[in-house]
Amino acid sequence: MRRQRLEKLRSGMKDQGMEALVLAGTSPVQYATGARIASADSSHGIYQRTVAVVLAEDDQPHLFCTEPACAPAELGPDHVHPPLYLESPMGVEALGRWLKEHVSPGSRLGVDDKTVAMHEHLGEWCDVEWTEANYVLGPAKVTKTPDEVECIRRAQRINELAMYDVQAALRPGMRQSDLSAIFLGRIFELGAWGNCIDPIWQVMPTSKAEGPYTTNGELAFPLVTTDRLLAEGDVIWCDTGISYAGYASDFGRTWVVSEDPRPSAAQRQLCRRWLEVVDATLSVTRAGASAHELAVAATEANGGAKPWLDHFYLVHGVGTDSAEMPLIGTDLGEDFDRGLVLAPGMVMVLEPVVWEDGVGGYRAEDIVVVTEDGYQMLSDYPYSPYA
Amino acid sequence: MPEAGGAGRSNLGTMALEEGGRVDFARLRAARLGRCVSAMAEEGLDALVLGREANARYVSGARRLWNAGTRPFGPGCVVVADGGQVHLLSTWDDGVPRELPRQNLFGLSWNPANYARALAQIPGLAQARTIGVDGMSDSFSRMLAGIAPQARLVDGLGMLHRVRAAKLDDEVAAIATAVRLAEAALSHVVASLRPGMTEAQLQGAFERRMAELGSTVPGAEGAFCRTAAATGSPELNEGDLVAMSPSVLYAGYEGGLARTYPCPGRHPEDGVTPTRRQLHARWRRLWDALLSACRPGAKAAALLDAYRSTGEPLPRHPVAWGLGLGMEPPLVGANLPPDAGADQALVPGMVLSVGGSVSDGEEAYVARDTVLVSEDGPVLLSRHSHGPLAA
Repeated sequence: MRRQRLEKLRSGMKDQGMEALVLAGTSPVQYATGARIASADSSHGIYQRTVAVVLAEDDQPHLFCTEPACAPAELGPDHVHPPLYLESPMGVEALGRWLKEHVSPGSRLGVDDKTVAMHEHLGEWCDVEWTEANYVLGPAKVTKTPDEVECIRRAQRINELAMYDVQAALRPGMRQSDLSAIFLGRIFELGAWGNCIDPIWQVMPTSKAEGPYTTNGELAFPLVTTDRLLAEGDVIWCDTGISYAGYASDFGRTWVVSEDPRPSAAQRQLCRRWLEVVDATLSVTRAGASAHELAVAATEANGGAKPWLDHFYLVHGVGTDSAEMPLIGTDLGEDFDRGLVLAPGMVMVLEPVVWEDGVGGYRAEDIVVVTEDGYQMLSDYPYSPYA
Repeated sequence: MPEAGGAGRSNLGTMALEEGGRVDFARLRAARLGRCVSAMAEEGLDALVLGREANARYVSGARRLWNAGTRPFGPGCVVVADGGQVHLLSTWDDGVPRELPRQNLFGLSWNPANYARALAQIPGLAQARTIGVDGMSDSFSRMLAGIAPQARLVDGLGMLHRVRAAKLDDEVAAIATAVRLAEAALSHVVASLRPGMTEAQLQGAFERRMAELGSTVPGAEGAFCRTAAATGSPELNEGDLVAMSPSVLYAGYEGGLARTYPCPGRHPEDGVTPTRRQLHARWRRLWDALLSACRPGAKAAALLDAYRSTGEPLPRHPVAWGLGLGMEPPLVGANLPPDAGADQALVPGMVLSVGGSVSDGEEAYVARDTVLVSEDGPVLLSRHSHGPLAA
């Protein structure tokens, strides 16, 4: 898997005329090198960066890290270096000098994220032309190899197994943070590499007016977990994600807080509608379909109203980022969606939302991988207590 | 060393409510923003455009969703000097302090054109001549050139680091609370240490307890590991020496510590050998040297000198780093350039994570503490026991 990813990057670099990729972000570094980077607050990621440089003419990436043990076994000692500090002139000088030794003057280099110090000082040490690493990373990441799909499947399985335990424990009188406690304890026992997102257990209102103010008049979601007490009959939208081998999972379901959760007929109808929207979307999902076709199918199945949150999407991709391309139904607009064509190996998280003001909503997320003639489901978790 | 700092610097713990040992968040937010706006005036900044979560939180006080790892720079928060208004990327007002008016919120967008339109509507930004930023990208500098054509983009990070370095009393109280949570969850892990557990299970046990205590986000994972070279088995054996360096975020503030305990067998004394006691004693000497270097006015490099003076080799990992809204400068260590922090002077109110590791070639004793730098000397904010090896 690591070899194939690197081949994709190097062939993209050749097409783009890039001599090197300089990667400073957690997800791109994991993608390019397979380095195991512990989940941490972004501040740790910034001040204790793991950095990668991919050279077009080198069949191994260079990794700069504090902990050499984070490097995959095949990386030779000449490719694992002490860390680079990209927040100060002297730290940037170390990167600049290294680049000067390894790339030719005037060459084109891709970079994923520039610190202010890089922006201001890198030019003093190496005379190169900078461009966006995304021109190479984007096309490489958007379709997954079978091994990558398997990593996402495993990440999702770990996530789901932990959620069985949380759902079984869910009772009135628990706090939102108690659900996080069960979840966080369980994912490590099940083999997760780390937790990616503060787990969400949002208590949903029955009408938009009862919820928090929003800039777009839409439902506020996702809201941050606190130690709020959960009460009998609360409807909660769960959203959790972990990482396995650098790949993210994405779990979404709607639950009812109760000793004996029995959604009303109207609530169950929302879930039925949600399943219809997903079925309609998947009925047009296959390699060659445009993203717009999926959005149209979903909207038609919802009686003509867009069944997703205005500030999000009907579909997002998942990989080494928990939300990446393909994005479908965003404010990038219809033309963007028309131009986005599904390809085999794209992994899509479908996350429609069905809402009926006064009753409430149903939201869940399911992950599929696009195949030549359709799709394959990667999620495997029941819609209980709704369906 | 004083147990409690003077001059209002209380170190009485989270239960000392009569002394005001709690955080007044409204006061904290007002003071932080006030500091930032005065620093902007001193530096001649008309606006600040911030992408980093810790900076955005410092000026806005908003609780936004936590995600692991770094993201590429994108404007998530704007401070306009004239009027001191904060504008925040948030589609809703949940988690947003009440003093931040609704019209100052701009919603999440995937389309750079919509993003640019939202930013362009921020009063005062278009007229700005000098804008401080905490990150950069070519697309962002193009976008900002369209919104604020006269503006020069300058480094805003140095100013923010200076503003954030010396903690307000409320910030110290928040960090102390985070430390208490980390210590309580660590005690739980220590009590459940037994052969057969894996390092991952220790991390799980820690995070479960941490969330039961009310915080759902650690500073960093991967905090539990055996100090001897890998044995090939993922499971702990009786007597394995386990280094534990957990941290917890409380209202964004980080507190943490590190301790090393032997995995107990049938008897509590299992794993407590003279060699290991000796290791702890060496660490204690190192610690005394490090702590004496945590004095205001001293360069942070004094911590490295202190480390070297004990004869212990410098570790790969940093010896010290700043704590506040997560990790922050100064960072000091063998693998860090001097301008990451070593050549910076320590000031009263700085909070540092300080520690080290001593090894006998086979295994190591690792420990660190959260320390407040004060006029009256260093104040320990973490006080968890060092366990049987220190007894």
